[in-house]
Amino acid sequence: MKTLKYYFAGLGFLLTSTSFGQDLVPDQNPNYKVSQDQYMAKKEELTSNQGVTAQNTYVAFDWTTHKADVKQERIDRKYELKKIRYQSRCRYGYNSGLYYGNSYGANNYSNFGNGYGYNNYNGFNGYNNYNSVNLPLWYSLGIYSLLF
Amino acid sequence: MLALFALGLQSCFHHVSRVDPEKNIDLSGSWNDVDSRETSAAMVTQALEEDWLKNHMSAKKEKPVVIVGMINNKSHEHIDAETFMKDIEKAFIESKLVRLVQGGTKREEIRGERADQQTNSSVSTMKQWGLEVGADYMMQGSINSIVDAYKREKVVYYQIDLELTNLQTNEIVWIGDKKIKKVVKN
Repeated sequence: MKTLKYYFAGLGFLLTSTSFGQDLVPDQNPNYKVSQDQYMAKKEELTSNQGVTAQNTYVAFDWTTHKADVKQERIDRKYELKKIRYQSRCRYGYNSGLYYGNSYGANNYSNFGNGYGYNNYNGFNGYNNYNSVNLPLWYSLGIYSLLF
Repeated sequence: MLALFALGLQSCFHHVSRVDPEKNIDLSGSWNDVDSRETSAAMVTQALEEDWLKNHMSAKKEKPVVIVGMINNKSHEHIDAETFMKDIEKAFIESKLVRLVQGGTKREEIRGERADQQTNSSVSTMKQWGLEVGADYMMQGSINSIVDAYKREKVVYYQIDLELTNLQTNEIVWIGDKKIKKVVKN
């Protein structure tokens, strides 16, 4: 019985090795299946770019574009500085009235409201707080939108 | 009078004219249709006249089957190779010397349609799986450029390389190239 088992196992091995051997064409690498399995697993990924132009471009130095870039940088820097200047003026409140005149009263009004409790009395507390905190910002944003 | 003036003014702002697509027009000095056309013309001549075709025909006794692979643009400009690759493919088909098979996303679409036919088409018109023509060669390529600029003047050099590789043996059987050099003054 045991001998018969060995006989069948040997026969199985012989058949397998023979059929594997038949797959090989002359001079073919016997380990080709390793590579085949590796590439079969990612064939879709590898063929998806067929007929496609992969854009791996670089940036070439150009005097004219360089000059234009420098100019643009200068403009942007000036704009940022201007913006900061306006913002700082707004924060300290001396832009209103001095430069544009129209927010002078409003600021005073809100300060007055907060300081003396006038608004609490009238029940418009929220409105005046809104003015006193955000008014310079709203005015400055309005000025920027007009200027730029 | 005013209407005539307005009409004249309008015509100054916007103008469209149709020109022959073969006409050479260079504006900025960047890659344009003229370069694409010159590249395809040069590549077609080289591809159909060189030895790889004769060698294949004498060895296999049948036309080679080509699939187009990826083109790698490594230049400084955005260039889509499809404009000249399609000209080359068209020339291959028209020459009746080279056969082409579809690849990439278009092939996926074809297979999707074939899959759809398996459940929606009549049995007599339904296409079978596993009968596609396998390519003998893959065409791949690259676009390179060198830019030399000083003040208002620059020299731009493009080199377009295409190559055919035997899919069975991995052997490169053909390399075609086109070199373009331009002097641009601003």
